[in-house]
Amino acid sequence: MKKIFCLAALLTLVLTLPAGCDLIDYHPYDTRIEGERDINRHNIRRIEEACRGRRSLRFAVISDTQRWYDETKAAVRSINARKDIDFVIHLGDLTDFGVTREFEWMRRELEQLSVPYVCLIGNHDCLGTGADTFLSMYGTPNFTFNAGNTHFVCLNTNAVEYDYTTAIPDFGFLRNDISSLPQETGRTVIAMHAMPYSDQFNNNVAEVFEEYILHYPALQFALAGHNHYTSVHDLFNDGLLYYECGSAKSREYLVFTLTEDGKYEYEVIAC
Amino acid sequence: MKSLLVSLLLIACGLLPATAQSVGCGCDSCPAAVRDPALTASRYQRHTDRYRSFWQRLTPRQTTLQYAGSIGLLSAGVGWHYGPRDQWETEFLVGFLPRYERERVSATFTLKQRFRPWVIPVSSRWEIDPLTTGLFFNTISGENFWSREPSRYPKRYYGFSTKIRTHVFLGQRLRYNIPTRNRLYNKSVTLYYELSTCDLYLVSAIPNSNVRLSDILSLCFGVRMEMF
Repeated sequence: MKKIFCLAALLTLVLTLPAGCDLIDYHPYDTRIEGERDINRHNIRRIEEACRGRRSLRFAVISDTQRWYDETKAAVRSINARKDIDFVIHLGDLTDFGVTREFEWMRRELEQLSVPYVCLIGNHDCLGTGADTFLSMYGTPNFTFNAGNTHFVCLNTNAVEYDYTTAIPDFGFLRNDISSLPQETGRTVIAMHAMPYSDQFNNNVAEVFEEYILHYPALQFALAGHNHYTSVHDLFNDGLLYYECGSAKSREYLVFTLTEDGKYEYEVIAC
Repeated sequence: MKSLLVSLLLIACGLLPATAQSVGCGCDSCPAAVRDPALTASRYQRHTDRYRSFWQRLTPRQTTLQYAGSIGLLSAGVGWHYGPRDQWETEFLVGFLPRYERERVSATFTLKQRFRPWVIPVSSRWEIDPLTTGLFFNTISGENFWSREPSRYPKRYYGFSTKIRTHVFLGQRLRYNIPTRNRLYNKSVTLYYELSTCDLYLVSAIPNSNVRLSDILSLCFGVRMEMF
């Protein structure tokens, strides 16, 4: 009788373990991803369909949400409440350690967005097996999309993470893209995680990079994260503004409005 | 200084003949007892016995096979149990981690320290450990991981290691003592499960209400066989 009681007690404990949630983890860096993958491609399709033919846009920019899940939730809520945002660009550093579960936890927050979003790769996202997880969950680190007549160029600029062994920034990618722009392209926006002259950028080619991206038609401005504070720089004194988006911790995000007359407006929103 | 050197020299002179004598040089001038081969053999015996028993005590006394638990898909290892009531255990495990989205498969290596404060005997054959607890350190193969930040980074750029993880765990076990006549290699088989979490999961969960307890837990199942 005592035996049966003890065995039953043990069995109950095992069975009452939080059922339904995934407790199986092979390694923090195992890259065993559950749920949606290839998110950028899926969401780019949605963005391009929703914005087709339009000459005005409004999009939100968030960045460096690593390990600030509560703060990210606040930003997502604020963006959802606005109802006037077409899509969201995340400028990288979804994770702090590049751990597989961190990607899933951050995706869980970003999935709550009522509008499509795209994510760039940040330097923290490259740690351990993070770059592999990013590739599977979001897609290639360099990508472009077209929202209405605006061409968006999203680049991996974390040269230090790859120890300068990979073409970062990838000029081949930029050359191919510039030579194959859609005919209706009226203006361009460029986005990256770490901007020129930051500790991650390949600063040997900072000026070459600037010269290269100026080949894009009607380049409006550049977006960057990484430094965790919101600011605006004219890095090369050539009129091209680099808008830095603060981290989630700063409880701020940016909203850009591209107007029909070819101009743009920019706001910093507290959340 | 000089006197110190002289005294050292004197000690050395005094010791050297004594050492020679104790070992037994085998010449005719030495006392017969020192030359006795039986006596030298017994000293030799004693030394080698001590040496053997030292290494024998280090022989692993248990083997483990574990599924999941943040140290690979499957890991196997050997271990030791010790203490007045065998309440301490140390294990060394080698794990296999499939490729998934990474470039290649990885091996992991784990050093685990376990404490089981209580045992509930159910019958002569069955025993329950209502609580096991402890910690383990894990390292993983592959050039993507570093234990110290590579030189390309400014000092303390990230401030953590991607290669070495520290985990803590709680678990329970069910043990079956194999009757003497049925034993082949082992005297008991233990089934166990453990819930663990690691340093990086903890620092993610602590400042965030959105990261739940179930998000940071890792479950493992295992079987442990005790040889002696």
